[in-house]
Amino acid sequence: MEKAKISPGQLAALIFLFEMGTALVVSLGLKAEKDAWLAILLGLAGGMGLFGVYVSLYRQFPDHPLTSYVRIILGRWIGWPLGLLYVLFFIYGAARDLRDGADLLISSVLDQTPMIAVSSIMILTTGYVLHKGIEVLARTAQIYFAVLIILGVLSNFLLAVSGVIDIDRLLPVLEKGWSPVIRTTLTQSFEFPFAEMICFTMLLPYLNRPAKGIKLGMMTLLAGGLVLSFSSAMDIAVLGVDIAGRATFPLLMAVSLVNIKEFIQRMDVLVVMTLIIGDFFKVAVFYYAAVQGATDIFRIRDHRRLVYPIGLIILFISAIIAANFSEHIEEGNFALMTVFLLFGVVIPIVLWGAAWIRKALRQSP
Amino acid sequence: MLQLDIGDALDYVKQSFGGSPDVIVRILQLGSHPGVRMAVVHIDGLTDKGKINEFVAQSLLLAPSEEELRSMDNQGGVLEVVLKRTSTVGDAKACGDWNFIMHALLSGDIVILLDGSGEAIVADLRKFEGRAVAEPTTEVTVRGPKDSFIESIDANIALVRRRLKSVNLWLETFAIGRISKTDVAILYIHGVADNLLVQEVRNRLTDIKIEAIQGSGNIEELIRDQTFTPFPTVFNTERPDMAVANLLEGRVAVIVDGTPFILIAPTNFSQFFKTTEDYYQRFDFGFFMRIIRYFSFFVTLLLPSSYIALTTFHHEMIPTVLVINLLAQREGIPFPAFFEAMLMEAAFEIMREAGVRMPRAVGQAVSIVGAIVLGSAAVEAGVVTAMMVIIVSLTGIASFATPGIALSNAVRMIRFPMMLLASTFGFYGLMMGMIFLVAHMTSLKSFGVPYLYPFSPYDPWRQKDTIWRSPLKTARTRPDLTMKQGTARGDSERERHET
Repeated sequence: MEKAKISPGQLAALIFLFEMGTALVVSLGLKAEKDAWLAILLGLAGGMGLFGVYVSLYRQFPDHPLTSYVRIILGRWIGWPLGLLYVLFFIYGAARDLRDGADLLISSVLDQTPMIAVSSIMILTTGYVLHKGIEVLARTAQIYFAVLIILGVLSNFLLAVSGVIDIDRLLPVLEKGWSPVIRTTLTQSFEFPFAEMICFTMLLPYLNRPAKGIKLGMMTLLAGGLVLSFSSAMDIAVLGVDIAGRATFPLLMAVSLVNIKEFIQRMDVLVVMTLIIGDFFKVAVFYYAAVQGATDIFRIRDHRRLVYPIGLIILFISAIIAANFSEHIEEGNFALMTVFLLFGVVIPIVLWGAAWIRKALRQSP
Repeated sequence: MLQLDIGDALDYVKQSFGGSPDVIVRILQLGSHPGVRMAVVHIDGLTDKGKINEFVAQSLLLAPSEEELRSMDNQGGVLEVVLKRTSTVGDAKACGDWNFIMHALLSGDIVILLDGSGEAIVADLRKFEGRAVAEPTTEVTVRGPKDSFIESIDANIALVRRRLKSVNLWLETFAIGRISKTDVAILYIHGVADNLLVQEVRNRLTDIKIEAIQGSGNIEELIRDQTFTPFPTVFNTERPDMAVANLLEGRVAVIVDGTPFILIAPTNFSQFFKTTEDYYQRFDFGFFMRIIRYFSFFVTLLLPSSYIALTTFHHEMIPTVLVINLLAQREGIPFPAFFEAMLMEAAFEIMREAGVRMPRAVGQAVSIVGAIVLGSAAVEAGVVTAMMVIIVSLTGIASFATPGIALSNAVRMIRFPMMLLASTFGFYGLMMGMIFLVAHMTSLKSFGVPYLYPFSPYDPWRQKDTIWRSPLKTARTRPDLTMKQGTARGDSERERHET
């Protein structure tokens, strides 16, 4: 653990940016077609419950990150390898998000640039920030939270003024009943991005005012989910479900339709900026969780010694993880239902149960 | 103890100075039969000659009265009598330590050596010689006081004292520099400035190990928190009203003898966008001016690089009519946009540097030739586009709109790597550069205060005087800049201010 503290406001900024991350620009929940927004809301409900589990674990071990309380709950022989697996999971998560960002940039604006160059710049910057510590990351998040809000308000305003929004495209609600919505929720919009919040179990011990921090964190989670749902509905209202469903990055496509008097047009760059900011903080949080976990399980005194080596691993994994973008997306869908579900949902709930049993056993002699 | 024999003492003084002829010694006799020999030593040029003559004639050379003769017979009586007489000039004291005496001599005091006494008398007869208080040259205001600090430390302290008639304005002096022994004073308002902050400033000043201090810039470099950053973490000003305003906010001023720029610590990013003028004008206009300054900060930082990114990577974002126009302009230009921009920015920096170093008389010629002739000729010759000239000039002008020159200089340097990033990665490179920059700035501290405070850590209660300038009537509480007691170094109390 570093000697650092983050304030509730900073945690909230991190949570919001993390949630927006890549989820905002990719076609989240669009398998539920017109009801994508509903699928996200359901995912959000699940996500809030899941965050409740994380918080409950944090309340029992307020001074320990996830990787060290697994050892307390499950003992050293199971806990330590599990901690190691979590570190690998965080590295994998960071690599996936790094790849997401790089692929989007290459397919939208930097079509001539090699991917490794794009990823390297991102990982270098992230590494620099993490090297300065969690406080610097959290404060930087506070500034970019404001920037993201401005970008969001601006894009929505421009879309509204351009007159491309057609609410009728969202109707009828629940055309095919609840089953596709629930299926999408379970397979996608619950795990992504809500189960990924598991990273924050590594950050919560830094909170300086836990009670307020958790309350604010919950509220931010809710607000972030609502924004995701809103923007998904917006994509469909602008593009129609056919185009939005087929597009890799519906938001990018939607915003590119902005045209005001032939003067303000092609505002895609706003979306690209949103993605860069969100993706940066998502990579950074995963990356930090991995560094923090490795520092913890290998008992290294200074987390800074691990920052650049782990960054290098993330960079290479992101490059070899898939041969092309479609493969990457396919793998992603598979990973969501397996890896992310296991590490984000199943294990935490098991831990939570085990912690309760342990507590109950302790209290009844 | 000094040498008892006055001849030995004088020899010692002469030897110490290597016989420099500007050390003036006058040997006098106090009383007669037998009387006491004494020597008045001073350094020519540092002391007020007229006053010395007056003092010697009217105080030292008078025949001793009966009473004085009586007391002169006592042990140490001579010293007492001469000290009493010297008191007419004010601030006189007896001293038996050569180090102190030499320092006083070099500072412009006169030293009276007495035969047979182990101590000498040091009296202040310094000559106050220097520039008169003039108008500020670097921080100009339209409406507000027109005086500025000068080189003399005493005059500078007086300028502050005149504005703050309070016993709580406390002053501490140091002599810094192994050879130069430059006078450095710290100034703060007791009860307003945080004690730990004052202690921290004191510590950093006493920790300085250097041969000579030439100006407050040296001190700034030696006491700042981080060395490897382009951003200034100590503020400097030549305006007394600015210094007073900062003292009232709980900051500490460091005045260095020989420099009209005084240092103020701690500082933060937003301070470089404030001028005292904001408070002399209406509050809404003050707010307006600040918005303009922040805007021009971003123009300086990002305009050339954004232009490069737009023309190299993101043509589609430019409105169609304009992009056709731009492409038509670029048709005959042999360079890529990045090279074109570097060429012009470099030319601008050369002109700017030449403009500063030039003798005043030819300065105007440089600016005319540089700005008008060179610019339009370059366009006509087809070396650069007219658009690029506009961009570069706008950037140059905007860089002058930041009141804190130190920050403006930092931005001037940073815009070059930004241009490089923009030319290789477009807006993505720019975004990464900006994230890097913001992260770097959040990691900076100035005497324990985070550099981007109160933007980050965000403090809603401090926003009323950062970009927004609230009316004076509503400014009831003192801006809590130094983040209160116990926070000059530690973090414990800071949490209270974060949200």
